Amino acid sequence: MGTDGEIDFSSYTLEQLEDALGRIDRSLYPRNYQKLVMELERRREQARASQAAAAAANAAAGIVRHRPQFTAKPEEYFRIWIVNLALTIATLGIYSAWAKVRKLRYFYSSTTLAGSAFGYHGDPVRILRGRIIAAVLAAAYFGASRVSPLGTLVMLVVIGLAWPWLLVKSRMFTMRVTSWRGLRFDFAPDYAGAYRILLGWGALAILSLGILSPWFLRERYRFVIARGRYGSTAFECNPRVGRFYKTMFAAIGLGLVGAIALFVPMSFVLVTIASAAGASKAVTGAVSAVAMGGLYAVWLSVLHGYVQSRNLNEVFGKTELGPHRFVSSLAAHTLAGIYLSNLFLIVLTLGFYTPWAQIRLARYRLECTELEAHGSLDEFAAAAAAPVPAAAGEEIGSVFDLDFGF
Amino acid sequence: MIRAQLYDGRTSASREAQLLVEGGGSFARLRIEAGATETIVPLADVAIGERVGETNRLLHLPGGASLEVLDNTAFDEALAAAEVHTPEAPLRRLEGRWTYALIAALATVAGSVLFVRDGIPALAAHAVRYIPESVDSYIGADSLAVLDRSVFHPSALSAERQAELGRVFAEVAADAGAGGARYRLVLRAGGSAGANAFALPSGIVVLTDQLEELAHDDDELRGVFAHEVGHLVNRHAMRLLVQTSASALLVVGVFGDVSGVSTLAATAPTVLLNAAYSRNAEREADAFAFSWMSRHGVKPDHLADLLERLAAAHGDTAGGYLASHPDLRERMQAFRRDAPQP
Repeated sequence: MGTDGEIDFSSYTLEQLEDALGRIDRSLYPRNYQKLVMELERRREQARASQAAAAAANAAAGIVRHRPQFTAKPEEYFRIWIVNLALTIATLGIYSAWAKVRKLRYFYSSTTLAGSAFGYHGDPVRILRGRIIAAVLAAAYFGASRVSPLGTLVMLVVIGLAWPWLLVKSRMFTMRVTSWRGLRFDFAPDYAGAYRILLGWGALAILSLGILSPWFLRERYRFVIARGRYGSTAFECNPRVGRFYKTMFAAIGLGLVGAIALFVPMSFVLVTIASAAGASKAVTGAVSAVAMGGLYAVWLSVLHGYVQSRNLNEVFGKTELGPHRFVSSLAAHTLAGIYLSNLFLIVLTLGFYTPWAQIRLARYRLECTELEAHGSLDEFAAAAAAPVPAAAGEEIGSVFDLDFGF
Repeated sequence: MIRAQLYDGRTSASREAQLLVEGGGSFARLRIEAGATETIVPLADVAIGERVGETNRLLHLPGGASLEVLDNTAFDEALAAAEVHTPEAPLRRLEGRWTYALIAALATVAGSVLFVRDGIPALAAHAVRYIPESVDSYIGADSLAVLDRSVFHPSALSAERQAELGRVFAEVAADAGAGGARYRLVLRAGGSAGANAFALPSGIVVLTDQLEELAHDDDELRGVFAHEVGHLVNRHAMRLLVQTSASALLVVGVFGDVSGVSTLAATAPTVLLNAAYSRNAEREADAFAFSWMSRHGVKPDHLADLLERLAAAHGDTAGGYLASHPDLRERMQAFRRDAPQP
């Protein structure tokens, strides 16, 4: 080291400065120390100034980020959930429509954006009507599937042909019963578009053995979001197909790695243990089926978390509402962790963890989706009231677990 | 004063407002102060939104404007003071206390166990009465053809023996009431299905040559026939179909709310339920066989002997008759215990 006070700290990076501060011998080099402290102070001042300048620029441009707040409390929701279940069983399922409304109302009105909560306006009587239709169809499906393989095939074709129509009806119902700041959301029906995308692109995705499935995904997400309206303002959504390809290839890689790293050694271990213990073939088969099923569920949760987080980040990140944009920052490992621990705890508690699971998932997903407001949020205009369609589409979709995009 | 946000219904703008509930009963009014303007609306004209938990209540005013109440405890108290009742109040009491939550949890567990164990089978037995028996034959209508193509071969038994077995089967079927005339016996070389017997919903009972060989006398086969006819008389195929459909719907209804992972979590209980239902069906078929045998002077021991020989011939883990007829030891013991002592 040279003479004290000779070092020029202005060429140091912030990291180097902080490192130096931790190591410098104060008593040996008091002047260097003083210069170092002054330089650090100057840098901090600079950072504060540039942050303030950026905030001022954003404020001048009217850019404010709004993070939705989810205030639902699992203990409170547990009581709502369990009363819903008990009343549903006591009324042989009839109360389930009211239960659904109460649950959704709790979730919606627990979600606050820019100081205002969302509202749910579904009518339980119409939902009940939809559920009865869905239950009759489901019974017909189960019946047909037992009668003969041909029956299953016929029902699958019927449901497949109805899928786009059901999607449109379901989105119309869900959007039109949702409100924020006294204005309703809407979904502009486009049946031809739904058939073109779900059946057309869907068929191409299957015929190309999945190679075109990112295009299918992108078109479907875009359809579901961009036909949406808030008041009279339409959503826009232009996710990049390249990102869906990237996610798909990464997921395939992840899937293969999982199969090799988890399933192969696991089956060796199982077979070895079983033959060592002298268990019969049937017992070995049952044990490995259970173990493999569990492992499959674990690995599926991980893959699901990865794909879901990547796709939704891209979709919401490319979504706009008028001049405003959305920002989505789901982390794959956090989402996968939530899926995995939810699954594990729900099975472990025989279903009683469900309220906590639902709230954890909803909170994480909501709080990772921010609205970047460019200008005032007060200027959306209402549209002419659109009638809420029958709930049957929505209910049939949920009974048959049809994938409506979210 | 109760704080609220006022939305005009035309734009997404929000204004701060103060609320006051005045008067009572059907004359109660809502006074809304927003800035310098003051509006008074009869509460009867306000659609009071349902409140869940500690969330904000929405009020819909005539003309499309709405209010989001911010001081909800104060507003609920004001409503109560004005004797205005909200329809969800009883639900809120149920949802508000842990005592009720505990009762609801116990009721849910007890209710679903009772419903699944007794309710669904009872409902199914009742529902089946409204379904004509001829419909049953559609269930797995092509299964014999499929088995003939893939597993079975023509029976190697002599024509006389086949005719004799047909007469023995007719004896048993004659006791099965009006439907019995529809039932008939089909003989096949079992192939990989081994020593086996089973009933098809169309009224066909299949017996394999291997099981015929294993039987020492026709009384043992009478027991087997009586068991299979028991399945047909009780229309187990149709009842199981209704039961598994109903229980699948129930399981989806209870667990089907957490998206994605739920499907996996919901499969396990459905599989277990179906196994339990088919065990019950076996017990009912045994009961029919037992009562037929005691009425016709055939000792239940005969069936037990045959089951024992089957177990000895195949070991515990073999497929065939043993795999499709669980709890064999339990059943043999039941037949021996209930057998009339000589």
